Amino acid sequence: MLNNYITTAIRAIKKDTQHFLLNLIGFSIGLTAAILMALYAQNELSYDKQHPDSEHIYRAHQDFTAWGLQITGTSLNSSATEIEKNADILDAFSLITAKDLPNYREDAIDLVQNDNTRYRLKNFYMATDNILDFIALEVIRGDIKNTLHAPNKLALSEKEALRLFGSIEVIGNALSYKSGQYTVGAVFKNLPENTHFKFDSLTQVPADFLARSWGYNYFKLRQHADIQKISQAMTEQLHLRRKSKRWQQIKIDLVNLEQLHFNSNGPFEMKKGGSFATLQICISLSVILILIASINFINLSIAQSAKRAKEVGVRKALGASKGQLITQFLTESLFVVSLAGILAFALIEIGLPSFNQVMDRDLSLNYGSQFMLVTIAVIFTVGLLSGLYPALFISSFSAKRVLSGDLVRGGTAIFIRKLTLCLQGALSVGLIIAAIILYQQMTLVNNLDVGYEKHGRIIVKGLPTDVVFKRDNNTLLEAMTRLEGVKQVTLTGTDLTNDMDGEYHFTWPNGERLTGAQPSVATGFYAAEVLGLKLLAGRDFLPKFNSEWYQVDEEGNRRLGVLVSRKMVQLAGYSDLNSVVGMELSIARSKLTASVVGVIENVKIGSARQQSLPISFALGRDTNVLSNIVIKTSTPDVNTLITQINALVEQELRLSDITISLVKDDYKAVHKNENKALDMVTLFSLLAIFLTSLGTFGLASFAAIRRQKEIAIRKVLGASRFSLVNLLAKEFLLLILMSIAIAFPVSYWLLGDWLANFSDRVNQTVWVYLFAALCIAVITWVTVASLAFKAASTRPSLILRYE
Amino acid sequence: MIKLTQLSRVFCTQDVETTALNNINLSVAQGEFLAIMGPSGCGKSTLLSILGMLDSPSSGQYEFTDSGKSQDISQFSETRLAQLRKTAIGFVFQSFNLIDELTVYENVALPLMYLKVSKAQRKQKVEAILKRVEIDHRSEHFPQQLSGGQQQRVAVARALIADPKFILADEPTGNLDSKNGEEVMNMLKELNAQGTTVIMVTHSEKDAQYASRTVRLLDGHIMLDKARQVAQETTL
Repeated sequence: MLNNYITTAIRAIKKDTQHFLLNLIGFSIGLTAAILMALYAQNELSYDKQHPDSEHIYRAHQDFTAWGLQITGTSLNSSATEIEKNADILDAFSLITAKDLPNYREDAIDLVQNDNTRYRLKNFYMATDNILDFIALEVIRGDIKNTLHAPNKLALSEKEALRLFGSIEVIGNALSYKSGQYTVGAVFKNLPENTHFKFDSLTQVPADFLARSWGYNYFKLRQHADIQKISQAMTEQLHLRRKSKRWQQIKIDLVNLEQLHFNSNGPFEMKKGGSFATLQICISLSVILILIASINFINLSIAQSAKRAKEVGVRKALGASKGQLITQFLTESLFVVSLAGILAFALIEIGLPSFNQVMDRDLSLNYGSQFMLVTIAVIFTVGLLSGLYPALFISSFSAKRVLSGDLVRGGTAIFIRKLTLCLQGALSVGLIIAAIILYQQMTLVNNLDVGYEKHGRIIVKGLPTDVVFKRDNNTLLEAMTRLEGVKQVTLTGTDLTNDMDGEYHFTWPNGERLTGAQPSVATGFYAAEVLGLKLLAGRDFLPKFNSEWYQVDEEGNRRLGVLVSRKMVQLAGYSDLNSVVGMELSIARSKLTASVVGVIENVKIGSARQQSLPISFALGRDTNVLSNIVIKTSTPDVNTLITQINALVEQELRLSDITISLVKDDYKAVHKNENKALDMVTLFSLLAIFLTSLGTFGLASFAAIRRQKEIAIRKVLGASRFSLVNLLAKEFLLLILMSIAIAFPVSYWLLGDWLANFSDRVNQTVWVYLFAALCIAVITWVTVASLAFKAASTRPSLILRYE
Repeated sequence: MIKLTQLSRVFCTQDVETTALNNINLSVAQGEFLAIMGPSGCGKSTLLSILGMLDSPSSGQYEFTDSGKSQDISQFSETRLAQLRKTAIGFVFQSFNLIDELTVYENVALPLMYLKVSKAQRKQKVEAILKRVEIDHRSEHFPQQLSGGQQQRVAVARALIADPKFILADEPTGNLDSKNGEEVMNMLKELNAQGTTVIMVTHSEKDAQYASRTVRLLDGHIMLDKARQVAQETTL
């Protein structure tokens, strides 16, 4: 019997290839999108689940939002060591960036191997020796516990060992630094991609270091421990340690290890986290596409059912039961869905590299995996569900009426077809609106005036401060200035696209002292020009005023020049910006006097979601171990310039692994998740519109056939071709009008909710809504009209003779 | 074999009630060749649907005797009717109603598939019946590749394949030219002569001549039952 069903299905397909192709294309596109999203979702949700007891491990996050800053994944280690005494905490693990080592420059930058080659350790962290209780780390050589227990020992990742020594048989190998040497004690397998951890070199946390440093602090909690209570206790510990009033606003939250991937988008993370919102958007969009594809399938199957009515009638007359007919038509649906599934897998293989690029992942299809089994099961379930209604509908045709040529299609079917088309239209209109608003918002974010210039700026990161941050005889900066295409060069201690890492709390001459976060950025000469700060009063830092560079006299008094932001001036109580130029600001405790050289427009550090804080740029003093050089350029050939800069830094500093990027790219990377969401919404909107058009085309073709007699009669009676086209199109346009009525309020509400996340946001304008509606109306009209035109162009005599 | 008692069929639409069959009494004996005639709208098709178990009466009884066992099937569910239909009735339609997607062989084999007859037996029976209606040379052709007469022969073969209790023919020559029509009627006559009960609905007086008994319907009533009349006259 199954053979008979499949044979009939194949022959029915051959007779009606158009309908089959519409279904096949629609379904395969829907399935492709859904499978890609499922792959992405599976990967996103697998983060950090591999670690031992991952469900009971939490990381302490420090919430600085009360200061107008972000939530960081790092916290004060001392609060961790104190809180360890809590009965609900079974164990604690700390990971601290080696950049915090007091002698980082000596200990980690200029490492010399025996053959005199200089290296610096990549992704270098200090870790407590209980690492294996918290991280699923496969140690392939040596003993990591002992390594992290003793000073001057290193645990290296496989790739780091290969980079440094060309082999993984490196236990006992040495790397010399200025005042000592590291011995390799362990080699571990490279960390997988699906973890928020990213380290390649580990060493012991020096004694007493935990009491005063910041780092990533992980806690293994007792089952059913009260997370709220522990966070509260940690916050209290922090408040005890940092007694000032403003620190009392800072909170500590505990985030579960398995949730970290979606909660690690703040600054100072080992690597950029994922976005749960993007994941939700992607999953919703793929469900929408599958839904549209299924609706198309149902509609087209029902619309086409009249062609199979005779067959159903005959089969019934010959004794087929309703169950047998349902089985037959379900088999047909599953047959089409299976073909669509195969096509979808082919499309995925073709599209996966581009998808990986957009999503910044390395996903692949594993045909023998459990994922594949589940996917196939889902495909068949969707096929069954989509085929069920048409199967029920077709098998319920009355044999008597069909065979006596009296087939009347039910009102319910027509209503369902109209309703579903209406829903599809609403989804398409909504998606177009969403894509445009998202595009507008991301354009706004990307072009947002953040107070510094993103275009034509190159940043060289992670350079040793003691070498580059100097006023006189700065050969590296001088050499860079001489490169072709370089307009000017400056130094900076802060990457403006990331986050603040220092602040000055000045007392102004009027006695005002601002509270709250007020970042300070260490810079070199030409800071305003190179960083693109807008000067509102005063001037830039210039070499001819070199006494403004940070200096300390014999009595320990410090002086430097500063540029202050408009917001800082206004908050300090001055309305005339020019009046503050030349003023002397002070920090009595550190004997620091800063003279105001200029006033600049407000600057926003980090993401566009942040607010502008009162900020100052200080000349010549960077307390960080590593600094950056920013280059202003007008060259169209940025790549060549980057190569030259790279060579120059290598030559001057003897450093091999330098990070050089464009400021605009760094800024874009901060909004990677939003851009990813935009890409996805745009792509999926186009697919949704395509699928809806496919559905409309299918239905319109059946409508044209159904009404061909009416068209012929109207034509005989004198109707013009255009009026006939409109007659058919009107039915569909009315449905689109209803779609618009549904889509407008829902889109307005959902998008308003999303936009509320941004401090600078676009307004939802009427034209966007009207444009989306017009798009769908025009696409529908053109789709229907193309078919209606053909129907209206047929000679009426042919139709009427046939009838 | 068939006995209809006070059988009525009423169709109700939103505001109109139409009585298609009104208290019909009709018996058909085993081996009869019955022609049902009447003008359009007299209830022929409705009667045929009920006889063919494709529809159920609104009131009255439909007694069907099979292997000596008589049962009233007027209130049977669709599933039970389908079950009975596939073993009891062979259909021949005016427009042949062959499934376009199936070959001649597959069309004829279809009733046997619903009866779950084995493949080997199916093959044997289909080949035999196709030979009997002289269409075996076309067994791999699709319906559209055949003439009207050939299609109707296939339809007759399909009607006979499951050895039904009776054949229900709805205007079997309606779509055929006179030569092919004659051929099909001769075939039905021949089948009847071999013992198959045939009930035929027709407009054609010529076709009705082939039947041993004619029933004329008008406005849902039986106006004339020719065979019975003849029988009564004989008695008188």
